[in-house]
Amino acid sequence: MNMAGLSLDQAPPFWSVARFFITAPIFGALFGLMIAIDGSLLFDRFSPQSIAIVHLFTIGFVAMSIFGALGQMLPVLAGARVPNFYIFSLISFVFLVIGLLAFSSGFYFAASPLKQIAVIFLSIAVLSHLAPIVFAIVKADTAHFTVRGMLISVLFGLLALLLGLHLLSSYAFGTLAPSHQLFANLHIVLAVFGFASILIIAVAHQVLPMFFVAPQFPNFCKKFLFVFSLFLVAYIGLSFANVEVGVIISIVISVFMSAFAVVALKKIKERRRKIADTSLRYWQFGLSSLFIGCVVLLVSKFTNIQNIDFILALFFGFGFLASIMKAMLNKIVPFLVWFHLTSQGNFDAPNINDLLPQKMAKIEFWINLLAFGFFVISNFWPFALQIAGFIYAMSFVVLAYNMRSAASGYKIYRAKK
Amino acid sequence: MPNEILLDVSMMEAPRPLQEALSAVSKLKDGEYILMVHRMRPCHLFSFLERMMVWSEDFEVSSDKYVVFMANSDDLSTIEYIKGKIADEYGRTLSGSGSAVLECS
Repeated sequence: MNMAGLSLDQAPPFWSVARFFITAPIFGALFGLMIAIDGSLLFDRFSPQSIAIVHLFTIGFVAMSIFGALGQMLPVLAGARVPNFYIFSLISFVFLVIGLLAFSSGFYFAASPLKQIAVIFLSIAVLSHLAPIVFAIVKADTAHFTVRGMLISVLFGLLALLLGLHLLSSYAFGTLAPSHQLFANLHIVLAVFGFASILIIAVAHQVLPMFFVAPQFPNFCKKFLFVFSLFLVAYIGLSFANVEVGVIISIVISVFMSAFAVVALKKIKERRRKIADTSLRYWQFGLSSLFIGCVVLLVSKFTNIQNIDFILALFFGFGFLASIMKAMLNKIVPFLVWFHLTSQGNFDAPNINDLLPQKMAKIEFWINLLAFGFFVISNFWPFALQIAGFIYAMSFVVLAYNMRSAASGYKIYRAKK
Repeated sequence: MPNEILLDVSMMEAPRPLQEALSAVSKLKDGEYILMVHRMRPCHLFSFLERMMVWSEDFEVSSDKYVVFMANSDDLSTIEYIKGKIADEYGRTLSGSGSAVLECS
């Protein structure tokens, strides 16, 4: 299969992806700050304030990081160039930021006009970013596993986001249908496990061997991804047919995702270079959280666990998704700077450890761990939640600083030349 | 006989293989070639080589060994030598000048 070399000129411009990576931690910090102000809202996942706060994290940090990562990885792995990517990414970025701010403030302050603005802006943001990517992948016609995984992930993502927009419209125009709960559950499952998790699994097959000299994943793992995708598709169909499949899909998710966690942790343990940097620690922490979350999810189907929604959000959201995003940001941003400088002929460009010193990355990691600890404690002593929120916000502030510092290396170096 | 510069980056984490390869290529002279040994296909390298007018031929030797031969594109005698070496040692016959299939493993 010939994807006759992508020239360096066709790689996406630096800022067209970097802006997503630099902005995402800012929303993470805002999320932490809102919890610090009144985190008790998190325990009621259907309260408007909870929806407002949670989406600062899911859209503002997770989705924004993913948007940047997709834009960067697709040309490299699939040799597929997204035409006019600079314009699409700029549109999606601007509309995503405005849409998300309108979304969160609309829910927090119960302002329907803001929710209506959010419907329009988030629709444009999602479609302008993901639709061109889907077309580019399909056109590239690649057999590369990671790229196929990206395609599946993005398709689930589009579906999850469309469901989300439908739910948002329901709130914005005051038309909550009887199927609202069903759509909400589908939205969460597809967003977390269809969009984000499948992308992480697909990317892990590339990133762990590439950045950590880990052995390749066994071939059966690739097949498992497609089987898992089929289960999710079946879940969608059966849900719409009003067949109760909550327990079954929970078991499926628990089994598949915990299997991925175990295999990935094993591959990390078997890596041939034993040096561990912050990014690796985040992968280990994130995968461990994923495993624990899967166990909790499974157990919760057979026994009553108090605050189960919060606990699952803790392990799947803050523990798994956020950690993997942070692991990726710590690698991608300095790599991006170095790559773009080098591709411009600057073979003396600073290396990635100079662009993002490990000391700063470690500080952020430990603050993140501390916050996570307080989140766990808050399940038993709610007073700890606001402390957790504040510390979590601080971890994102440090992350934002680190990303900004790394990215500014690009500007500073070019200015010197 | 051209001089072989062995560049074993199979134990290096990204982007060090690319850094080492670019550093070696920037010093490459006629009458020399680089044999880069990696554990996966260095997907970023080839667009650099194209710009630097460096000929290359790459292929998978085993599931965890990938090799890339590199020489100056106008160093035809070295390129012919490499083609012969690949045919003898790896049993591969090349058609035309080296072409990269841009698919990271």
